[in-house]
Amino acid sequence: MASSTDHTSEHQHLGTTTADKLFIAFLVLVVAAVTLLGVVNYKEAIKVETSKSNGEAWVAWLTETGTTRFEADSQHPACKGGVKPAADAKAGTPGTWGACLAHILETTELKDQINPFFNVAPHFVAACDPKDRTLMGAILLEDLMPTPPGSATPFVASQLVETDAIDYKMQLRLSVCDKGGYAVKVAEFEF
Amino acid sequence: MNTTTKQDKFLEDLDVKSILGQDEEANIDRNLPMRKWLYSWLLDPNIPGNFQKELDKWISYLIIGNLFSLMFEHVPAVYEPYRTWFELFDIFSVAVFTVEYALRLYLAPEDEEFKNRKNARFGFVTSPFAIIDFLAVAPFYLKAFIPIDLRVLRFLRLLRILKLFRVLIPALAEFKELNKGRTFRQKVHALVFPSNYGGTMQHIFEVFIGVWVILSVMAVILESVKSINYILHLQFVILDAVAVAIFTVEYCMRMYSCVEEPGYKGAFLGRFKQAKNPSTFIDFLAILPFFLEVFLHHLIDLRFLRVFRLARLLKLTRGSDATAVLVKVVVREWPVMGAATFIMMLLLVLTASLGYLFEYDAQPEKFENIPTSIYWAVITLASVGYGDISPVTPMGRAMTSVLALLGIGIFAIPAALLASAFSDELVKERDQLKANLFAILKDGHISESEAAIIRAEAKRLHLTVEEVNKLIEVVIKEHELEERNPLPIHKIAENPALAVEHYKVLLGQIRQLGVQVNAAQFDQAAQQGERLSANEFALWQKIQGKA
Repeated sequence: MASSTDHTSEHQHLGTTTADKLFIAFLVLVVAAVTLLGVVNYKEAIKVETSKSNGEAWVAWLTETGTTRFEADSQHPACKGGVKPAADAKAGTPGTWGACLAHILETTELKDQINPFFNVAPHFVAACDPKDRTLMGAILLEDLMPTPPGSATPFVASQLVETDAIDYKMQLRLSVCDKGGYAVKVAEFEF
Repeated sequence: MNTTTKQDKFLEDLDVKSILGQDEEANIDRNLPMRKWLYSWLLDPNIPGNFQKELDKWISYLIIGNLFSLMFEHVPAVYEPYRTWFELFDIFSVAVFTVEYALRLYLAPEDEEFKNRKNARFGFVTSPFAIIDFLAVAPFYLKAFIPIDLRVLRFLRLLRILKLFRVLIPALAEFKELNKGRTFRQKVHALVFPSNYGGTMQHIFEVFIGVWVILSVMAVILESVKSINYILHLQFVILDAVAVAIFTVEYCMRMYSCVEEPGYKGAFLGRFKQAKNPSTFIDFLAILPFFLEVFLHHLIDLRFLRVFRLARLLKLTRGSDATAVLVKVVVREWPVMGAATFIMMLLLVLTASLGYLFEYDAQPEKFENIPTSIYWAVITLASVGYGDISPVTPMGRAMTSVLALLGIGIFAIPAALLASAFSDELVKERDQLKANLFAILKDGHISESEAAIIRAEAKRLHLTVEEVNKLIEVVIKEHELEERNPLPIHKIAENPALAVEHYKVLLGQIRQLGVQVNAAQFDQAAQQGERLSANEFALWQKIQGKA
């Protein structure tokens, strides 16, 4: 066992010395600095949480709409299922994701969403990239296409782009890019 | 001769359990009145071996459990699915705290603090500790009569943590008493470094740091589980910041007060030496990733640094003697292990080269070059055999068969060396304890400081009461032999059993000499002017387990 030295024979100043006071001040400074950095980290984490909430709101809306969009009296005609667009359809043509997205961003509460990292509306990206800092808080929406039986992977994920047809029951995956630029999966759902 | 008899009697009457602090059978009279009897068993802090310490310990655990429960209640994803369990835990906690409160109230007239007051129970109810205890349970009952906001209720439940003061305040008082007349820096030292001045407070400090180490390491592990990190990301961030704040303060306290440690004198040099110390370096590594990530995350991706937070687990090795023994053994056996490693490396390169030679033509994509073949050689020699690369030529297979068998032996050498060195170290340390016991028992009296040494050594070597008893028996025998008039050698030689015992005693004395003497100085003195012949010196080395 290590033992403390007993300095009883030495001359000692039993109150707090200047060095002690400096140490206490340094300790307070260190605690304040760590607290400050902790608060910075917390604020950044809150931004990630807000981005996740944005993603969750999209998932909730798309999941809910997905249950009724194949019905005749669907509330959101731009997102209606079963409407097959032409093979060379452009973004905005009925039956494409572009038309549905435009409708969502014009008429639903999702249009008011804010990307907390840049204070602008979140945008859809092809992939999250840790090297690209402009992607923080962006949304990644992927179409999960099932692969033939016996394949090594059960499905192939590709970004849902505006010209993609949405006439069929789709399996989607929504992720958001965190502050490090990594994808955080929010949910996989049917649309 | 009379003295010897008295000493023998003393040695026979030794209560090892008591010396080792394991005399946990409290001596409480069964015929005491019920209240007094109950108080003696459950709450009296002055009766060793009763349940007071255990009770305090388990109540403390329950308080910490309550704190965690309260934390997780703020996470809907955790709280909602397990709401019933959380509620049941709260009911259980309140029940335990209520019983504790009622018990303390009932037994207050037996408590030294309140028994002399006019109304002991009123004195208890108005005491600070009792008010805290009351506040810990009152909100639970209050909500049955008055609708209370859930947030207020949770805040009031947070007050349960104040119950920990029942343990902390006596420890603090003891710490103050132990450090009376000492400087501020010495007090800081007593708190963070093990010493005779730390008392219970130092133990609480170590437990506190240990709990935070475990918590933060668990958080790092759970963070890697995406589904958990998704739910608890914010909580992990807060926990990490709090852990870093605690570890940083601890690091600063160690660096500031280390100059009080023997061998660390000097405001700069002492601290520099402390900073280079492996355990302090680990402390530094435990906090570094946090600061680097905060300051540099805009420049480079420092996510990989998070794994280094697991280095915090190494902080726990500070209190582990096993780690110290391991380091000692590895350092001592380093030359031999180095030789074994050299042979291993030699075999590895040869195997890889031969594998490349025999297999390249048949499998150029697998045995592409010698560095690639080294991977195959390691996997083969270490008897792992993943099978992703395997020889196909007859020569390659024949060589692999031989090398796989060789590998078993070669790779086992370091393990065997370590095991044997561990065993030697244990024998040495026990011999050291035996030597200490011999010196301690010589005067026929065990002082409190000597008992403390025995306790510390027995704890360090993980010796049971029976093992210490056995050692003491051996020491008693040696004492007896020492005290008796020594028989002449020819008389001893007449009785083979006695001769064997005499031989064992002599060997034991040589071992004790080896443990107590400075080995380097002894070796130097023995070889100077050829005081010992080569054979004599070799025999000495053998007895000391060095040859």
